[in-house]
Amino acid sequence: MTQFIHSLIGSLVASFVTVLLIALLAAVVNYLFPAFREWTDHLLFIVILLAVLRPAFDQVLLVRTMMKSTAALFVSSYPILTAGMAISGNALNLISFQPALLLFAHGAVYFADRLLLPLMTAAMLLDVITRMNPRIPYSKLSDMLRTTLLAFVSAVVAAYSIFITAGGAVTFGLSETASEPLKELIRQNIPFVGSFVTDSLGAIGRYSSGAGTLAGGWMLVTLWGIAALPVIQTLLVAFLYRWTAAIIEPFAAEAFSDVLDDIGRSLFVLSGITFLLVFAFIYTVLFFIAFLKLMGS
Amino acid sequence: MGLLFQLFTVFLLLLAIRFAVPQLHPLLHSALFVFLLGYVMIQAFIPFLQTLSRTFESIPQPFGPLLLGSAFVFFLGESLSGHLEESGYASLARLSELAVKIFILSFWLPHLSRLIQQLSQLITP
Repeated sequence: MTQFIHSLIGSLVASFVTVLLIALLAAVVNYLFPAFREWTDHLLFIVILLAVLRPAFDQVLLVRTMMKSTAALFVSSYPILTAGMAISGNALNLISFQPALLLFAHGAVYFADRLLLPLMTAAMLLDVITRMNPRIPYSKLSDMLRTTLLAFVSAVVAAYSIFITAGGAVTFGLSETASEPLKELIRQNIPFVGSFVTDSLGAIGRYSSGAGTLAGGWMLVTLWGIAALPVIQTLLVAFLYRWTAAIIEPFAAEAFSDVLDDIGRSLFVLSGITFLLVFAFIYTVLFFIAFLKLMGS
Repeated sequence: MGLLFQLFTVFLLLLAIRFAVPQLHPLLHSALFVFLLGYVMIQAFIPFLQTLSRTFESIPQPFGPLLLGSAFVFFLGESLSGHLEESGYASLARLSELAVKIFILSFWLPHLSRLIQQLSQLITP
């Protein structure tokens, strides 16, 4: 488990340790050359943006690439899926598939690609600008953007749950008594997206246990694992940012811990957005699996 | 600690010069200042900065020495321009300050352009 986490965020931890060291060095330099203080703060911003915000930016770029390829996958597979639906009505019965849900997933990914992700990037950049030049603050605007995005994402996730519980005769494989405390634990310990995590995990579980008979349990586990990896990675990166912000607060300038904290919060929103993508991806792939099985038999 | 006594001795020497040959005082003051600046740099300041940069070795390579170096250059330029201003040449002092600022910024410009590249990568669709 530790090795797994290390492979995900190993290089990140190193760059966060460097933030601590840089903040210490800046404290020493400020003590030695008090007249240089203003310069140190500004130069440190360049260093921190270059060395530390790199992972966050990389994460945003990665999610954007995934969005693009998933949207392309949808657009290219839509005709085939429609044809399949027309040919074999069986697939619909078998995994309680709802065409509306597929459409909804498309719409969510399209929205995320065109609207949510750019807004998230804008919130992130506005935070950086605010901390760089505190006299022209945009912090309320970026907070507003984040809140709006979270509201949108939670609305979409809630809609997913409604769709699935309305159409699903399938039940979650894990027994409720075992899973409820676990869900509650996740919900309370992961801020913002925790409830989305449990809701959508439950939704995916409820939905895909019907497909388990077709695709095989391990296949499904693998599929979830692959699909959930970006979300987990984004969450870990976001947590690292907030931890670092908390640790360097006593001895670094306030702006640095604030900017790290804000970036962390933006990344939580990003992981929420990634969830929409993951859900749509899993849904499409499961449908493909069921469809191919039916065509083969 | 020895440095402090040396500085005080130089101060006494300057006082004596000012009393004995007032016409030569500005010239000798400047000469002694530059000499002393170099002495302090070589004796105490540069070794200390080297130790400091060795202590913070694990900071990604260009940034630690770069920050210390630019602070050092800034201090050097400031003390020189302070001396110029003391001698009554405030305009020269301002010019030297500008020169030092441009010097420091020229070191940081490549990193700044990298940063701009990174940020613009986020914006371009």
